[in-house]
Amino acid sequence: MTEHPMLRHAGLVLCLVWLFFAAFPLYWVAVTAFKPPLAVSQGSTYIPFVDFQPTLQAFRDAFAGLRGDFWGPIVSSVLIALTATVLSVFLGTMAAYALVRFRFRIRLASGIAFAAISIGGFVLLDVHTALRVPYALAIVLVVALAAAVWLNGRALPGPVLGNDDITFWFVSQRIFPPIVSAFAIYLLYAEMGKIGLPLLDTFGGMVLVYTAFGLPFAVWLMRDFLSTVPLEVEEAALVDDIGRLRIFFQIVLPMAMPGLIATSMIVLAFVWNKFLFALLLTTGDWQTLPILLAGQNSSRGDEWWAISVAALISIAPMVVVATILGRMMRSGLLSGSIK
Amino acid sequence: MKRLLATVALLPLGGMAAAQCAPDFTGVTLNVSTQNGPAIASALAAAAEVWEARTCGEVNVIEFPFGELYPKFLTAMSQQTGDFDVIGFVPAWLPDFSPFLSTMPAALQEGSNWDDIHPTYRERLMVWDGEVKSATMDGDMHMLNLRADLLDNPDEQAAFQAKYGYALAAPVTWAQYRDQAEFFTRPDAGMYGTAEAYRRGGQQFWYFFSHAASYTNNPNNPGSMFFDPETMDAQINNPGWLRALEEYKDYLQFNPPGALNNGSGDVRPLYAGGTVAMNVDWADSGVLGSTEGAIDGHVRTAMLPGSTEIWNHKTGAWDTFPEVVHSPFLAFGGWQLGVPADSKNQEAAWDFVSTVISPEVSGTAIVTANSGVNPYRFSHYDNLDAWASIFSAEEAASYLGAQRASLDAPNVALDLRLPGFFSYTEVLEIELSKALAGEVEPQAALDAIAAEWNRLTDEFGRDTQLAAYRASVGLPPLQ
Repeated sequence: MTEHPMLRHAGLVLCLVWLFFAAFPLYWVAVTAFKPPLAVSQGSTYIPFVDFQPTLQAFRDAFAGLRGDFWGPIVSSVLIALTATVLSVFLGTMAAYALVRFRFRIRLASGIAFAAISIGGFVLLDVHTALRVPYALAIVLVVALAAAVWLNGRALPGPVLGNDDITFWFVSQRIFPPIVSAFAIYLLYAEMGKIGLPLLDTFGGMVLVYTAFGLPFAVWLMRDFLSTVPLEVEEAALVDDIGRLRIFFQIVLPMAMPGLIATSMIVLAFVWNKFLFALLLTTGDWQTLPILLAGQNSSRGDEWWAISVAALISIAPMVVVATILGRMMRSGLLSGSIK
Repeated sequence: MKRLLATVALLPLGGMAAAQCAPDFTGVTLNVSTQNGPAIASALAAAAEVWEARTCGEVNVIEFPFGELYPKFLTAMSQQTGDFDVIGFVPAWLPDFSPFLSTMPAALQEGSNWDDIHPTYRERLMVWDGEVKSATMDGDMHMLNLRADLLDNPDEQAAFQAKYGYALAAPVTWAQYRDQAEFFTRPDAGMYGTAEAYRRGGQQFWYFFSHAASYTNNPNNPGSMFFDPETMDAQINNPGWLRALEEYKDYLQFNPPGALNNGSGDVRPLYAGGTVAMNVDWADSGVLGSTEGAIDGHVRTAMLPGSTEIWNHKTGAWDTFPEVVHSPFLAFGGWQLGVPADSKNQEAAWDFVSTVISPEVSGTAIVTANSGVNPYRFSHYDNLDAWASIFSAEEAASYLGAQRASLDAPNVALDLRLPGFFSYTEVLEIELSKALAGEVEPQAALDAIAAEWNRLTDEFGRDTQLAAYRASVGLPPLQ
């Protein structure tokens, strides 16, 4: 079927309109970063040197530390986001592989028993003993897990959950708003600090919570990617008596590399922009960029020139990472690796 | 042997270094937190350099978004994490923070440096439940910013006189303010009468309060602006507040187009850039106008207009006064420093606070661009020469004179300070925005706010809130 030239032109026009809407906010942010304060509030101006005289003052203020320390949060964001992304994708891929290749049967009753024992046990220990919160939690979680595993082996009545249910359970972690868990995590971290294991405002504490945050995405996305990896290859390896771990690392992971990269990009983007956890769990040492970005809107009102500079600085590392990963995605090696 | 000799040789040097630290806080690192800079944070950083040089301690300035400071500080202090040694916050939060803050050492509450702080701050805003729980590091109030190039222009003066029948000068009443706003509104010339903040989240309610103070802060019934100080019934729907809201909304027509979306950050450059003839704002507008604006040399500042009529909630009628009563509103009330009780470095923390608010350090901060620090000491108002880098002599005299006059005004109105401040102002902003947008009538909006304020008061505990409110307005406890 030959394409009608008019249709092609209409498609092109639509694409250009869409491009305009997509690119305009970025252009506005970029232009505003170079405006002096008065040029921002005196009507709309868009073209440097024509509408207004551009200045680097907002950039100078930012990097001179006048609007907060930018370098520290940049380093913190990069270290925390990259580490958490690698861990999330690695652990998520293992979980996803298990969900694709093995059949799980979880009795709902054992899950309910786990919740009842852990919550009830914690309340009992907290009310009737002088145990600190972290110790009480550790005890009830170990006991509840052991009890749930034991109960799952019994012929309990009620529905049995399969792999799809477990996948949904993973995804459901991200359905509720982060504030639901954020404050509880803050309290837990504060209690951990009181028993000598500082997690508030630490690299470990931030990586831990961001890994937990990224894990559901990783499991959900990698499950689909891994389901496309041909089972025959793994069966052939099993026939050759190759262990599951070796199959996973040396056969499955290389074949799922495009999926790993795509998942990493998505998880990284989510982790990079996370605000609430960083706000609650950090103070001075490991503050991340979203906090600094939000801070540009101060009690003095919306200082758009400063907000724009901070936004550009926040975007820059992600653009670099996305460019690198995008190139890897397009490389012939990766595009052909799943064949 | 070489190491031993070197150690012996360096001992006197070490002794000298220790002697230079007074007091010696070597090894102490203070976590000092406030909003993201440059305002306030840069002033703390500058003071930190002075303190570090004097005491050999270290200061780590930690910045958070303004909107997140309150929950951040409150959760940290209530959980006793010891995260912060010094916190920079606003007076409205003092009632909520007070149980977790240490009291200022007695030694800091005496001497010439203490007496130099204006009593409005020293005896009212820094005090909660009879104890000094915070230290003002920035004086704040709403003022009227005007332009000498318009007020002193003979053509403008003649035209104004001809139209309104009285001389063009700094408005003394809100009626005069309206006349001037109307007179200078010339859309064809790209000029408008005034600029105020109307946007929800853009500090609109402080502008509304500034109007309302003139009609509700009755000197015959001290402390009755926001609530009845005997019953804690909300007063925000009385005729004084209604008049303020109707006028505040009426002035929209003299603001530049789109003013409903203007926050305080927009109001400033509109004045400094010469788009408007005047504005209501904190002290920032004047500094911006004189340093980066198009009206350099023409900045003039005046106390907020007043009124000869103020609502009396007891008689249910307007009290009339022979002279204009000015009720300048201390919007926001300036930034304060407090030392959390869970700080492990309390002595060093209070010593740092004393450095920040010292006449020398604060005297430099008030004339430093973007420090966000405004005068609050008598010495700040007296030293006009220090302002030469920012203002002309006339500008400085007008700018400082208006601030001093506002603080000295017998009927000065303090900002709302009450436990649950955010709950009260949240509903206020919602209903206020509806009224300004014309979605509901002003009286209906105020009635809704009053109903919610009364509900909140009951929820927090009416007796507790009443005691807190009376303390905040300087009234003794009810017997």
